[in-house]
This record gives sequence, C-alpha cells and structure tokens, in this order.
Amino acid sequence: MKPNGTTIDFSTILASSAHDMKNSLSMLLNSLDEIIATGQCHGCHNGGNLSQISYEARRIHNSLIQLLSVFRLEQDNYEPNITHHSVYDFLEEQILNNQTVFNMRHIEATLDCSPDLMGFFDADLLAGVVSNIINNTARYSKGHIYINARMENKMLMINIEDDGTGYPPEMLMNETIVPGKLKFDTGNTGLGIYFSSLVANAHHNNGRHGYIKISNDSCYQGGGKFTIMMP
Amino acid sequence: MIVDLSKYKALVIDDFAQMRQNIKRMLESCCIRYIDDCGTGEDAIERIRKINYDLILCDYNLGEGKDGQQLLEEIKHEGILDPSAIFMMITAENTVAMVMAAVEYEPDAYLTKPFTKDVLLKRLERILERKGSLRDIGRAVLRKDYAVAVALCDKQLHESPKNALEILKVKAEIFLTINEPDKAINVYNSILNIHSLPWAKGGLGRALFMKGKLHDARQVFEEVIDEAPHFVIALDWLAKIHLSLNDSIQAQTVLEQASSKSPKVILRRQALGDVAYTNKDYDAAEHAYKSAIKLGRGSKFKRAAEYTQLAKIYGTQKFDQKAMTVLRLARDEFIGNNEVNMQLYSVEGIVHHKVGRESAASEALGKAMHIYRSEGNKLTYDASMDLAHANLLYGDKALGKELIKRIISNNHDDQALLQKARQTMLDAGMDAPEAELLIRNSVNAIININNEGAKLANAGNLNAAIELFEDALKQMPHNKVVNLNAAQALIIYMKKNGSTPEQLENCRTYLNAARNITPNDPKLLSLLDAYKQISKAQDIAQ
Repeated sequence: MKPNGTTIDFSTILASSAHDMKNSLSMLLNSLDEIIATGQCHGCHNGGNLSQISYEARRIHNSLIQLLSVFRLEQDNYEPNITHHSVYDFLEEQILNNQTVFNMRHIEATLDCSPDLMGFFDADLLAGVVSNIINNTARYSKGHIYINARMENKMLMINIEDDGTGYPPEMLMNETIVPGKLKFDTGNTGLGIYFSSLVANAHHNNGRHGYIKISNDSCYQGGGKFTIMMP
Repeated sequence: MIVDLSKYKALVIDDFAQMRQNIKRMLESCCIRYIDDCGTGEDAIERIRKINYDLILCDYNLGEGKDGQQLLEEIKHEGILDPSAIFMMITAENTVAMVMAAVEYEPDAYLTKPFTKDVLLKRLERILERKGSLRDIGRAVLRKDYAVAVALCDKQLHESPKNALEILKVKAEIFLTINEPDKAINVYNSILNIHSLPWAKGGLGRALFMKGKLHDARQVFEEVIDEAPHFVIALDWLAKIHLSLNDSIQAQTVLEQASSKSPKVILRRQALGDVAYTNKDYDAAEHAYKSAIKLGRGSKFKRAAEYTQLAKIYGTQKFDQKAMTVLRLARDEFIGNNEVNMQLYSVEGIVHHKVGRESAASEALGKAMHIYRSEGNKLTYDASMDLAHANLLYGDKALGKELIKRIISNNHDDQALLQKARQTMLDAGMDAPEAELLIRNSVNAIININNEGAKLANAGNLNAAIELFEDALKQMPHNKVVNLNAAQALIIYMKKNGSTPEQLENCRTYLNAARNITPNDPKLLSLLDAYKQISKAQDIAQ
C-alpha cells in the first residue's frame, strides 16, 4: 500500500540505487587496482584472479554508468556538457583506463590519431561509450584492437576495430542506428549499443546530430568495427 | 615527457578518510614524498595559506560545509593559490550544472572516479604542458604588457595547435580587458564558426555589451541560455543588460532564475537583494540578503551592505527589534572595522528615527559623526551614502547633500551609483525634483569643467587648463575623467616645454588615481606610455 498516495516512479528509485552502487564500486575498483599493483611488486601469484575480479567489477561499473546516463538522457532537460578536447589525449586515456583488461587478455591496442585533432564532445558520455565498446571487444578479440580517429565530412569519426569473428548478423545494420529502432533481446550488448546511439544523438552542432555504425569491415579480415560520428 | 614529482608538495582533500588514504598511496607511488591531507574545505584553506602546494587533489563533495568548487573560488579570490599550482577536482560524475557553475574559477582538470595512477600521471603531464604554453602569456598579462601577451598568443597558436582553444580564449579575454571589443568579436566568431560553445557565445555577448549594442548583446545571451540553460553566468549578464536598459523588474526576474539554478553563489544573492530593494520588493530582498549573510559569514565576499540594507527594510516595516539584531550581527562580523561601524551607527540611527525614538537616533548619529570626523576621506561610497541618508532624514541636511554631491562628483558617469544616490535621497524624504536637481547640477559641473579644460588646452592655454583640472581634483580626487584630463594636459605641456620633477610627480599621482578606478582604460594606457617616455627622457637629461 502506498502511504498517503505518494509515489516515486521506479526509474527514479533505480537511478538512485544505481548511483549508490556505482560509487561503491568506484571505491572497490580503486582498492583493487592498488592491490593488483602492489601485489605484482611483491611477486604475488594470484594476480590473475584479482585481474578477473577487477575486469568484472569494471564491467558492472560500465553498465551502471550506462544505466544512469540513459536515465538522464531520457529526461527532457538533460544537457550534455560539450567542450573541446584533444581526441588523442582522450582516446589514450580510455586505453589507460582499460589497461587491466588488456593485460589480462594479452591484447595489444593500437592508437592511430593525429595529436592535433580537436573534438567537441561530452567527455564523460563518450568515455562511457568507448570504454564499453573496448571492454566488449576485448572479450572477442584474438589479440589486437585498432582504435583510430579523424575528421570525415566535417564530423569527428572514431573507429574501434578488432580481429575477432565480427558482430553477429542480427546486430549489423546497414543504415545508421538511431535510438528507438533497437531490439533489446541481445542482452547487455543491446544496452551498450542503445546507450551509444543515445549519446551520439545527444551531440549536435549546426543542426547535425551524431550517430553510430556497426559493421564487420574491420581492417583485420572479418573482425568487428564500431564507428561513432560526432558533429 | 616524464614528470619528476619528487619535489612536489601535494594536498589531498576528501571527507572520506579511506579515499584520502587511497589517493595518498597513489601519489606516493608517483614518487611524491610530501603529502598532506584533510577532510574539510575550511581546514584546506588554513593549510593552503601556510604552505605553497604544487598539486591539490580535491573531492567535489566534502559533506557539510564548503564543497570543492567553493573552496577553489575562495583560494583563487584570496590569491593564496599559486598560479603555477595544479588544482584537480575529483568527482563521481561531471554534471553539467557543476561544470557550468565553475566557468569563472575552473579547476585545471576534472578527474572522474575511479581513476588509475597512470591516468593521473598522464593528466599531470598534459596540464603541465598546457600551463607551460600559457605561462609566458599569463606573465605578460600580469605585468599588463598586453601587446606582448597578444603576440605570444599568436606564437603559441602556431607552436601548440593542440591548445588552440585555450589560447584563443585567453587572447579574446585580453581584447576585452583592453577595451578592444571588435578584435574580441573576431576571435569569438572564429571559434563559433567551428562549434557553438557557451563560453565563446558569452564572450561575444560581453563584447557587444562593451560596444554599447545592448539589444544585440541581450539577444546573444538569450540564445546562450536557450542552448545551455546551466550556463548561469549568462543570466548574470542578462540581468546587467536589463539594468542598463533601465528595466529593473526584468533584471530581478532573471537574477531570481540565476539564484535558483546556483543558489550557493553569494555574489548573485547580493545582486538580487540590491535589485529587489530598488524595486521595493522587500520580501524578495529580505530573502536574498538573509541568504547572502549566511553564505558570507567568514568569507572574503561578505559586504556590510547585506546587513545595513536588511536593517533598513526592517526599519521601514517598523520591525526595529529585528533590525537591531541584524546590526548586532554585523558588528560582530566586522569587528574592528571603523568604517563599517560608522555605517552601522548611521543605519541604527535611521531605524530609531523610523520608530520615533529620537534621542536614541541622535545618539547613534552622533557616534557615526564622531567616526566620520576622523575617517572622513577614506569612506566607501556605500558607507557615505548611509551617513548621508541619516543626515538628510533627521540630522545635518546640508552635510547630507554635500556627501551625496561628493559621491556624484567622483563618479559622474556611473549610472548605477547615480541611481543609488537618487534612491537614497528619496528614501530620506527629499522631493523628487530637488533630488534630480542636485544630481543634474553635480554631473553638469563636472562635464563643464572637462569641456572648459579641453577648450583651454586646444587653444594652447595649457597652464590655465592644468590649473582648472587640478583645482577640480581638490573637490573630487577620485573622478576618473578629471584625473585623466589633468594628466593629459600636463603631458602635453611637458612634451612642449620640458618637465620639472614636481610636474612629473603630479602627473603620476593623477595616473595612479585613474588606475585605481579603471586599470585598463585605453586612454589611461596610452597616457601611461607617454608618461614613461617623458620620465625616461628626463632621466637621461639628468
């Protein structure tokens, strides 16, 4: 029974819980990374297990960030914080943030981007997108991830390509992906793609909106390629 | 670039002891040996006052009391943060409201939790590189060598294209500082052609305002607010524009909107209180002043005006007990400040008078006058205005008028201050026509002196012009225009006839007086250049 007819809608409760969980995980991740770092110094042998824990914790953390961002983006008054960034610095930082995963899975990430390339975006939102894609790609990659960025048709294009077996056919879409046209039966990946398309769409400049593309046109034969275009 | 941090002094501020330990260990593993930590903004300020830290890592959320942003504002405003020091704000997430509220006092970086040691090091490296490319520009700006600063901006734009936007931002800001709105507009437009950014659009609006294009400026700021509702500073500017267009009702509406978005900023509360007071919306003014008092306690941003204005409102409503309580609070807050004490006695007198306690009223005014006789020339306009108010109301009316006249003489081109003077006279029961006449006569007297002096100088009668301006300055030592004119006449004379040490000394006095009022006035800057040349020539001659 609802006391005095007051109702708080479920999504608000969910968002507030997700917020709490995310902050706790953030503390946990900090401690974990520190243990892993010091453990390695002392020749500790269960570093592998700890890396696995860190990897899974980071995945949960990413999911919570997406959940919260989707919640905010769907509120009408949400306003992304668009400022200028060095694209190289930004991507390099995303790779550093996911170094534990790369080390664990023995993946080599290559960054290809002019150090002078400038982009205009909400760094937190885009970090959520890139981190999520990198994290997922790491599960399917055989050892190489190629991250590249350049200007194309006056838009910033970021590609994340891997040498895995490519995206499953039901996820490939030839046309650009817009939020609302997505099915959720693909589980977590579905949320990730939905989130990415929302983030891209929230960026606009001079009447143009951002968008994402998913294909198997990776520079590694047959691998997956994720593209986000920002105006 | 590998950064050597071993000599760094670092401060970690976070209300969670566990988090502080985590970050401290991270810094230790970056080879930093000197690390202090504390849990509140208040403690942090004490430490920063004593120690020159190179690196400050501060959590945005500090529980009760100041948050990280308020801490940053206070230490920057107080000037205790070394310009080369790095201040990083640690956040759980960057909300746009938080970032937009920080545009005036930005941290060097936001670090989103959780972050690794490698990310921290990378960030430090980049901030040092960016600060390096801006350092010489910053130094040139500090010594007011603006031509050099602009040249350095162009050089850095070429050498460090990665930091182009930061450099362009500084360059445009310099143009605004030296009153070159057209050049600033060019820079802002070049940015806006690539991407619409609130700060660039806001800059464009400021440049238009500077050019006196108030309607264009208003439109630009309205667009900014439409595109970026959290960019609160645009609302402050919009309010300022409404005031310049003599629309104080709209100004109040806009400031209320700004205060509701960012209620913590004390300056906004003060402005809202002042404008609501002008509009005689005493409920809104009371509310705003109360919160300004609360936020200002122990802060560098506090003014006596919050207390005196609030006391005057209570006095008008015959709540004299409340008024006395407010004045007592002010006395405690500004203990040992003679000038404020005089102002408080003046307002105390006004309140007593309003409720008919005449003997208490004259006793209070007596105390105020006693301080006035010893401090007279050093008073702020705010304090003089309250003393004038009390005198006009029930004391020495001639002195009241004289004080108002003196305020106007020193500031004849400051519309907001003229409005305040008008308000004071009306509140003190003067007729509207009499008040207008006093304002008009005082303003015209200055304009006449300036015109007459210019005519004499143009006719080649420099001695008479100098004498006229110097005579006028005895009455209005702080009038910017008269000071500049006196200096100019002297400079023309000295160029023609050579200089005596006394003339040089006088000229310097006038230029310094003008510099204290508007340090970047273009006329002042060119006169300073001319002065330097003359004094150099004299040095050589000796």
